[in-house]
Amino acid sequence: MSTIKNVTVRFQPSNSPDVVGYRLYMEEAPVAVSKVSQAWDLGDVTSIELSTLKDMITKDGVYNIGITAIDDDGNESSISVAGDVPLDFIPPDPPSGIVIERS
Amino acid sequence: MITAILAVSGVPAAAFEAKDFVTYFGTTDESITVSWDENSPAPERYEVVLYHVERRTDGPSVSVVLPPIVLRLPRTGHYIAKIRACDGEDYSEWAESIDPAIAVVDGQPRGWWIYGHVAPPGTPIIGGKK
Repeated sequence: MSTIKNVTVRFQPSNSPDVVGYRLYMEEAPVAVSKVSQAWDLGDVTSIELSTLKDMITKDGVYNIGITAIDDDGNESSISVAGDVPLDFIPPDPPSGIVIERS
Repeated sequence: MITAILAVSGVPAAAFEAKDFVTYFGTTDESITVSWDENSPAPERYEVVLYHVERRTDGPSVSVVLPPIVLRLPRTGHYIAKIRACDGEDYSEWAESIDPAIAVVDGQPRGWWIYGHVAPPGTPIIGGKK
């Protein structure tokens, strides 16, 4: 059984006092990540493993990742971006042709 | 009488103009400095309030002997600065930053308010673990 590598995204929290959660955006480079990119609501956490997000992208590639803060009225901050992040979700093929040679 | 409320500092200069007054933009983790002309003779103190426009509520009243005052925007939204002079239990009328007869922007009579955005989180850091 193959094991997919866990990719963790961490960030410093917003310093606004009324923040109740965060939103993660992803876009495959070279397209810039923005608030129209695919999005996931994270809740009030500052660290997330991408594999735990529903319908997460699992295609190897280079991605732009953005995080915003959401306040208790639903207002959203500007987006903080990590650009050109190489992500390798797909494990290599297992070895094949294993033989045992008697010496 | 407070003759002039000077524009805030600590937030970007006016970047967008709405209605007939100027909007300053900041984030709710920033400090802003509000200043005004001192009365003569000086009152015992001034009271300063940030009025939250969308919620139609006054924030807590803060007393100061002399201008300026440094404040934080407590949450997202538009704010109007209100200041009054106080001697004991005697109070002046509130002077409001949206009143172009009192407020000043770039040295010119002009009303202003502040919009506080949610502060963004830090830049994401990507890590992997098996």
